[in-house]
This record gives sequence, structure tokens and C-alpha cells, in this order.
Amino acid sequence: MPKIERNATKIGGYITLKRKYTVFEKIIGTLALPVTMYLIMMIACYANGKMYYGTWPMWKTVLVDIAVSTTCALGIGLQFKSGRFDFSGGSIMLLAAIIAGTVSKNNGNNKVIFAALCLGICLALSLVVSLVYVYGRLPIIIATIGMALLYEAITTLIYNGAGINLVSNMQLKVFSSYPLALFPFIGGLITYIIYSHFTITGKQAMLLAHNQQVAVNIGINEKRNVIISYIFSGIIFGFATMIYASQGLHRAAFSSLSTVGSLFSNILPVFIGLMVGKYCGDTLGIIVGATTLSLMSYGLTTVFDAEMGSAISTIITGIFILAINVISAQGKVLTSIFKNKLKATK
Amino acid sequence: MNGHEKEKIIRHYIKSNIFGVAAYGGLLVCIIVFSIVPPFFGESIWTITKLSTLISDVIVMALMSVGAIFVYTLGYMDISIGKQVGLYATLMVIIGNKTGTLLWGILLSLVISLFIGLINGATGEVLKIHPIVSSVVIMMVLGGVSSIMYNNLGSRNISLKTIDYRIFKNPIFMLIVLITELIIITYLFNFTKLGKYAKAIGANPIVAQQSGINLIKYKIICYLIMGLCVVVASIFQMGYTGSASDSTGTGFEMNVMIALILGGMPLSGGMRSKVSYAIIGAFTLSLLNIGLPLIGVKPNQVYIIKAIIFIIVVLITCRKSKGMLPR
Amino acid sequence: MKNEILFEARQMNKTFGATIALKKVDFTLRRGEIRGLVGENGSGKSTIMSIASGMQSASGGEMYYKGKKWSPATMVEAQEGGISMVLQEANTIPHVTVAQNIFAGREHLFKSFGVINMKKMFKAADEILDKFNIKHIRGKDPIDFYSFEERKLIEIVRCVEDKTEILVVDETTTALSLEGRQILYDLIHKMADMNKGVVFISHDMDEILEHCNCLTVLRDGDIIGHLSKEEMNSVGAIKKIRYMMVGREIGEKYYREDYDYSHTGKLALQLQNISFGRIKEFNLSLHKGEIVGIGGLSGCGMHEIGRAIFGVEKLTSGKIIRNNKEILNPLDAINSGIGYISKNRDTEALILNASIQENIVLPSLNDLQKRFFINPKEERKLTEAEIKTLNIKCHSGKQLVSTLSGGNKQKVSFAKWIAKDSDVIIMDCPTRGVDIGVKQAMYSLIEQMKKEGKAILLISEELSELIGMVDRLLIMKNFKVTKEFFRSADLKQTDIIEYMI
Repeated sequence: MPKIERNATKIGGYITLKRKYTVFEKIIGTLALPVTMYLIMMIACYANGKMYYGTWPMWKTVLVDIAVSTTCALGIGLQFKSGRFDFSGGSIMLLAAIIAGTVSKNNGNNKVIFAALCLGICLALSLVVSLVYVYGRLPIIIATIGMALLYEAITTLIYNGAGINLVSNMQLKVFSSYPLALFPFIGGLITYIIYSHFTITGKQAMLLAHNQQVAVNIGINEKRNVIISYIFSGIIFGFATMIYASQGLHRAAFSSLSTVGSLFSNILPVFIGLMVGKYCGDTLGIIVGATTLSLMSYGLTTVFDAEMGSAISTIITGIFILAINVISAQGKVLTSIFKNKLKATK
Repeated sequence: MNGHEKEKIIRHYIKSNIFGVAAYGGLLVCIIVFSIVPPFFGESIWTITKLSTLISDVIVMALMSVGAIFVYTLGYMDISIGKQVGLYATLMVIIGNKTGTLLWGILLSLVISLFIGLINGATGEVLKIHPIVSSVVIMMVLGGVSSIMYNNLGSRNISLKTIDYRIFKNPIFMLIVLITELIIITYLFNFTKLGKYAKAIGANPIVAQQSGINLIKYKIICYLIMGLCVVVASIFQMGYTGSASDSTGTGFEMNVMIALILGGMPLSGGMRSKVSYAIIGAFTLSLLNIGLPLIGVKPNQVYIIKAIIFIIVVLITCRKSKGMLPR
Repeated sequence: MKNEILFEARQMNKTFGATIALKKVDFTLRRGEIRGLVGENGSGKSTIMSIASGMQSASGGEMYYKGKKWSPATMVEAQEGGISMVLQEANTIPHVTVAQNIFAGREHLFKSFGVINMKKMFKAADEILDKFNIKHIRGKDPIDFYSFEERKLIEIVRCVEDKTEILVVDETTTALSLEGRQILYDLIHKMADMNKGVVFISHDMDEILEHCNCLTVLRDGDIIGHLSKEEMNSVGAIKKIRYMMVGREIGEKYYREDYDYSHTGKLALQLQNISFGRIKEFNLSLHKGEIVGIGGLSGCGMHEIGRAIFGVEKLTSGKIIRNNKEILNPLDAINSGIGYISKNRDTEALILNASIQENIVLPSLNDLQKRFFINPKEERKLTEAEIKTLNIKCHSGKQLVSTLSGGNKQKVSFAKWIAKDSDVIIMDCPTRGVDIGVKQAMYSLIEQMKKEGKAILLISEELSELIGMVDRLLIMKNFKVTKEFFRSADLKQTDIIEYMI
């Protein structure tokens, strides 16, 4: 008998099904959002005479956006699934971008050095955050806020607070345009998939996330689990940084926790990912979420101009977040109404 | 009670009040350091000018933080404060320029803040989502609205043209308003059921409900109180320069969070919340801002020192002892 | 070899800061024994076995298992060695598969080339489930498909392997239905027959006397004595065991001594045809000066009735009437003078991080507030009156509730409603986890309240308590009332049980 149960870990919401979905339902569920968004935007653009929506050049730009947004979301989502709200991702990316970019620039714009540094620095910074959390025994929000402040402060000190500007750097900029942007995208995806499905840590992380007390009682080593998970999320952020670094001008963080704002804008794909994830798994779900979002923001900036477009995009993103949270919270109510309707028709 | 028991009680008192002790301690250390060292550099913090700068640096932050105590006691945070300040300041300038008085702008801001408080307080219970989500949404919506407004105005920065706003630069006035707000909030928090209910809801909402507390009503009231304080803070934010821009208020919610954490407020709220934490945190931060340059710290280095101090303070106050990793 | 010593603890002690949970205890378990462990809360019975099974470590002393030194670091390690423990609380992890639960912590068994093979895990889970004759649960099902009791069974499956030599059952049976308990009893008898050892920790005297073949009594971290099967079967065994558990004669007076079930006749509360959840058309009348009890197995619906009266559950039909007004939510209930002590004391009835005073005055704040001012002196006066009346052991009203013993915590929850002067009090399992001496005090308090004309609804899973205290007893089964009993000297547990099952 179909029944729905809900459990919310602080903010993330999980919906578990007591029946299986058919393949047909899975495909529809997965594609509903992005396809709908695409159609809406296409109509809006054509109506305004902007016929280049849906063409290959558009896709090239949108794909890069999807790439960076997905990798960021994967990094955030990895920790979010375990109930950890990580505030430090944005500062890690900024600091790594500045160091990796500047060092590569000074070494002849070497792409390999750049990529390696992005990965390595993000991994190291992420590892330090996890050590502070585990050995400092601080609540996760406070630990990550503290580290974010620290990393941001470092960005104001190194290279005299110059930040990084790779917009005009032809060699390194390849990472933020098609086709090379796909390399970190796939890299991030593979890392996430390996972690979730193939490592013991990933599986144990699920246990810890759903019932910490029981898992620890049984003897699962929490500390090791957390540190390893941060290594993986560090690598994923490293891939994201490769694209992010050359996307635009990045100033050093002179106002506290400014990097957190950019983090919050990538949280929507995580929410969509969790919700759509019951049809297709959370990895695909996050990609779907990022796609939907990128299609929307590209469409809006096309129809209106850049400023208005991004403003409206922000507003709609906000409403989206609200809608998704409300719907997943109401899952119980909606499906019991649905169930009653089914019963009535029998 | 013998000596051993007395010792146990004292130790227990310190442990349960470690937040307060560390926070007051931190402030004291700051005051001492900034009184002793600057004279070596030929400066002093106890001059009238420096003290006035201190007040003007702290006023907006302190007004917001004191109001935010009610919401943080519930265990929630409000991420939209910054954008709210931006919106209110902008409205006050626009309407002030159109009508020649700040009154209508302030009134409109009050109405909007009441509306926002209602949304934040009610959506948690009614829609069953965590109120931080509704505050993120409000932040995004207000951000977009603000961008659109400035786009239409054609400039990033607007200022008051006709109104005399000198009073808002007067440190004595600021002090009076701050002390008034402090007295009101402290009274509401400690001597009326508002504060006690907020603490109970933050500590254990189920027990609160089973003790007869109407959760929706009191959550909304807490958000309303904070909303009012945010409007007052916006008046001073705008009043100091007489202008507003599309980046006014950026990062304010984070500063409030940092000030409260530094002041010893537990993020989960509950029974151990105190209004004093807000004031201590806000003043410590501003003291650092004003005082560090006086002891020879370059502007660039202020950030890292603040970050390190933050981490040290939290390591003292927020460490959970044995057991599972804290959430 | 029969009767060989399987497990031995020598001079084991455990301290938590200043509290001594176990005082240099010597404990032995032999093959073929089903040893019952009884004691009050805080006696140390759970502590000994949780140390043996790896959940925590001892502060001193040594353990020997099968002749060798034994010090497991985790429960998984202990289980690999052959000692497993099933706990009272829910110990399974939701939202993952049954197989993941069964093999939690042992995932490395299914690694091929450094990668986890879930198919192998599912198959292994199915094999184990088949061995237990549990055919309808399969390894790859999400555990959320299953009820609380089926999850307990899965937990037992997790703990018991072929290599398990000692099984510790800690207060588990309260969660299980009759079939579930039977599976468990069969299991422990089978293990005894196979020459393994079982330690059975429980508060249920009848269960212990029936299924255990020897008994150990603890009190305040010490072993007081052992009983053999003959001694357990002798007359007066229960009284002797109780004496050992408490350490003094608790006197004859425990429950009420009168058999008068009259009351004032004035209606205090009425439930008219209420329906919600699985409860349909439930009726109940409660009078002033009357104690009505509701009993049944856990899951029969009685706890929900208590919540409904307090306005916590939304009714789909019917009314709850008090003083001619309908009760729709907890605020209505409290304002009309109803008080409710939830059975989840630590999570629903008290704020552990708050002081005694803050907890006691909470429902009364509305009354204490005069024109936007609450006088702290009034708060303190109210609290001190209650501390005195109920004899709450503390050094001041500012003491945190979390530092109190179970019995004193319960007194604080009582105090909340007495301070508010509630006339109708609903108590759900009020003496669960409370020491015998404190129980006695509570029973006399309840009797006192009846004499004062208050109306009391006593919901409890302990039949002897209900028989001893109530004027009228309603037995529920499957969300319906099956029989009503009136107070009488001849009322016995056996009469009642058939209506519960």
C-alpha cells in the first residue's frame, strides 16, 4: 500500500517512498522541470525577438554555467546530505582561485600547474576546515563561519589584496569556456559518484546522517568519516574553482562573509536535486537543478537586459527555493490527497 | 554546605556561564589593551573624537543585534536583515526627497517590516519549513527588487536633498536611542512572558506547546520586535551619510551573526540567551575596528586579527566536550 | 562444556565525573544461563553489560571472556568477538536499506577491488533473515517499509550471528507485541539450549521470573545478591527481590488501601464520540474526585487519547467538553484547568536545560503577568512552595533539571500543574523509570489529589499500578475500549489480560 513518510534533517528534507516508481514515471519526473523551463524561456525569448535561444552558441555558454553551478552544488550537497551546513566553500574557492591564478600567471600561464593548484589548494583548505570541526569540537556552522572569515582575511593579505583577474588571460581562460569546461565538470561528477556509491565512507555517511547516535553506538568512526568526506568535497570544489577562477574579476573579500552570498545562490540546485532525486538519484537531480537554473538565468538576461535580468532571476530563484521547500514539506499532505482521489476512483 | 560542595557549585556556575565569562572577559581584555598600548603610538582611545567614532561605528550594528536577540533565542537566524536595511534606507531617501519629511518613509518601512516579520514567523509553523529558508527567499526577493529600483533610478547612489539630518550624526543622540532600545528589549526579555516564552520555544518547542504557548503567535511577535529594531537601525544607517545605495546593508546579517557569536550567544538559542551578549559582541567588534589601527595594525591586517580572535573565542565557548560530533 | 564460565568481570567500576555508576563489581556468567539482571534506575545493571558489549569503557577493573582478557573498543568489535547487545531505544537507521542496517559497521566484508558490492550485501542479508524464519523482510527493502516492531526484529537479526556466544537483551520487550516477544523468548531459550549465555535486563518481574533460570539484583552500583531458580520459584520471591532492590522495607502501603470507587458525581471532562487517526467514536466521562485508568499493550491507542484530551491531536469528529466549553488546543486545555504529563518526560514534558523554577512557572506565566510585568519574587515564591510540597531534592530552584534524578524530574513535571492549580490531570506512565521509594510517594500524592476533588486520568502500561490505584479501569485494544472494570479487592491481572491481547 503506498504510504509516504518524511524525515527532515534540520533543513534538508528527504522523501522516502513505500513503493517503487516505474521507468516511465522516473523519466517524466526527472525531465519535467528542465524541459518546462526551456520551453517557457524559449517562448519568452522568441516573443521578444531574441531568436538565438536554443541555438548552439547559447548552449555553449549555458553549459559552462551549468558546469560551474553543478560542481559547486555537488560540493555543497555532499556535506548537506550529511546534515552539515558548510559556510566555507565560497571562501575556499576564492582563495584557491587567487593563489592558483597568480602562481600560474607568473609561471607562463601553465594550464597544468593551474589545474593542479586548484585541486591541491582546495583539498588542503577543505581538510583544515574538517580538522577544526573534528578536533575543535565546534558546531559545524560556527566552525565553517570561523574558517570562512579566516580564509577571506587571507585573501585580503596575499598579493596585497589584489584578488584575481583572468578575464583577459587567453591561456587560462579556456577552462571557463566550452569545451574545456567539461573537463572539471566531469571530474567533479566522477568524484561525487565515487564517494556516494563506491566508498565505504560514503555509505557510512548515510548511516551517520540519518541517525547519528545509533551509528556511533554501533561503532562507526565519525571522525574518520567526516575528514574523508571533506577531502572529497575539497576535490570537487577544486574542479569548480578551475571554471570559476577565470569567469570574471574576483576581488579579495573586504566585507565579511561576502563569499557566503555566492554560496547561497548555488543552494537551489541542491534542493532541486534532493527533490527530483527520488526519481533519478541525487547526482542526476543536481544536474537537473543546475540546468533548470542556468536556462532560466540565461533566458531572463536575454529578454530583459543584464541588470534587470539578473535581478529578476534572483527573485525567481528565491521563489523557487520557497516552493520546493514547501512542496517537499507538504509531501505528506499532497500525496494523501492524491491517494484519496485514487481510492475514490476505484 | 562544605567547601567541597561550594567549589562544585562555583565550577558549575562558570561552566554554565562560560559564554558570559568569556565574552565579558574578551571585552575587558580589549578595553585594557586599547587603553594601555595606543599611548605608545601617540594615540589614545579615550578622546572624544575616538569615542564618537566608536559610537557611530557601533550604533547600527548594536541596534540590530539587540533586536536580533529575540529571533536568535528561538534558535533561528535571519539572513535577510542586510537587504532589509538596504530597502528601508532607500525608501526613506526616495520618499524623504519627495515629501520633505522622513516620517512617511519610516512609516512605510515599519509596515513592510511588520509584513516580513509575519512571513518569517508564520511560514515556519504553517508551511512547515525552517524559517531560515523564508529569510533566504526574502533576501533574494528584496535583492532583486532593490536592483530593479536602482536600475530605474538610473544611478547606484541617492541622497537626501532637502532634509536636515544632522541629528543622526550626533553621538549623544545615538547613545540615547541605543540605551532606550536596550532598556526596552531587556525589560521585554526578562520581565514579561515574551522573553520567557521565546527561550522556551528555542529550548524545546514541544514542551513549550504543551505548556500552553501559542507557537505561531509568539514566533511572529519575536520577528516583529526584531523588524522594528532593524527599521530604527536603518534610520541611523541612512542618517549618518544621508544617502543610500544598492549595496547598503550588504553583509549586515553576517555581522550580526558574528557579533552575537562573539558576545557568547549560542546559535541554537534557548534558555541561555541573554540580551547582554548582543551588546558585548557589537561593542567588542567595533572596539577592534577602532582600536586595532591605534596600535599600529594596518587596515589589511585587521581582518585576519578579527578572524583569529573569532576562532579563539569560539574555541573557548562553543567546544562540546565528549560524545558525538556536534551538529 | 556445560556451566563453564563464559564471561567474568572483576572489580569493574565506572564513574561519570562525580557519579559512581558501578562500584568494583564482580560478575560471572556461565554457559546455559539465562541470567536476569534487575535493579532500580541507576543501579548499574545496564552499565555492566554495556561495558561488556563495547558501548562504553570501564573506569577500572578487568573483563575476561572465554578465559582471555576482553576489552572491546566498539560494539562492532564486541559483536565480532561474540558478545552482542540489543538496546531498548530504536537502534536502527531510517532511510537506508535493511541490509545496510544489518551490516552497519561491517561494510568492509563486501569490498571487491576497493569498491562496495551492494548485491553481495543484499544476498547475505537475505540468507540471515531466512535463518531466523523471517521470510517477508528482504535485504534490499528500505527499512522505512517496516513497523517499529519489525525494525526491532531486524536489530536482533543484526546482533545475533552464529558466532554470538552471549546475547544481552536490555529492556527490549516493552517495544514488542506478543508475537515479537515470543520470537525473542524462543531465541533466548534456544541459545541456552545451545550452551550459550543470555543476560536479560528488565523491569518486568513476571517476565523475568518466567524466562530466566537465575537472577542477580543490583542496587546503587553494587551487586546485592543472586537467586537460583528454586529461590525464584519460592513464595514471597517478589517481595524479597523488591527488598533487595530498594534496600529497606518499603512497608505494606504502596497503592491505595481502600476499595471505594465513589466520586463527587460532578462531571469534570467529557469526550463525546471523538475520532482521530485510528481511533473512532471514543467516549469517556471523568468526574471530580475520580481516578480513571486506561490500560493496554503499547500501541493500543491509550497514549493518543491522553494527547487528544490535551488538544495536541486534531479531531476529525466529536468534541472534548470541559465546563461547557470545547477544547481545541493545548492553550484551551490549560486555561480550563487541564494538565498533561507526557510519557516522554525528557523530551515533551520538561526543558532539561532550564532551571527547576523556569520549568515550574512556565504554564503559569500568563497568570503571573500583571500589566506587562512579571515579578521575579512571585516566580520564586511559587517555585519554593512546590519544592516544599513535593519534597524535590535540590539545592535551589535555580538548579538545572538535567542534574536531577528521574524521580525528582517527575516531581517537577507534577509541580508544573499543581502550581497552576489544575483540576484535571492526565498522567501518561507517570512512574516509568522512577525508583520504588519515589513511586510510593507519588501514589500517596495521587490519592491526596483525589481526596481534594481533582479528576485524574491515569494511563499506564503497568497493570499492577492500575489495579492498585484507579476507581475505574478501561482496557483498550486495537484503538477501542474492550472492557470496563470497577475497583474491587478481587480484581486480578489474569482477569484483565484477556481483554488486552
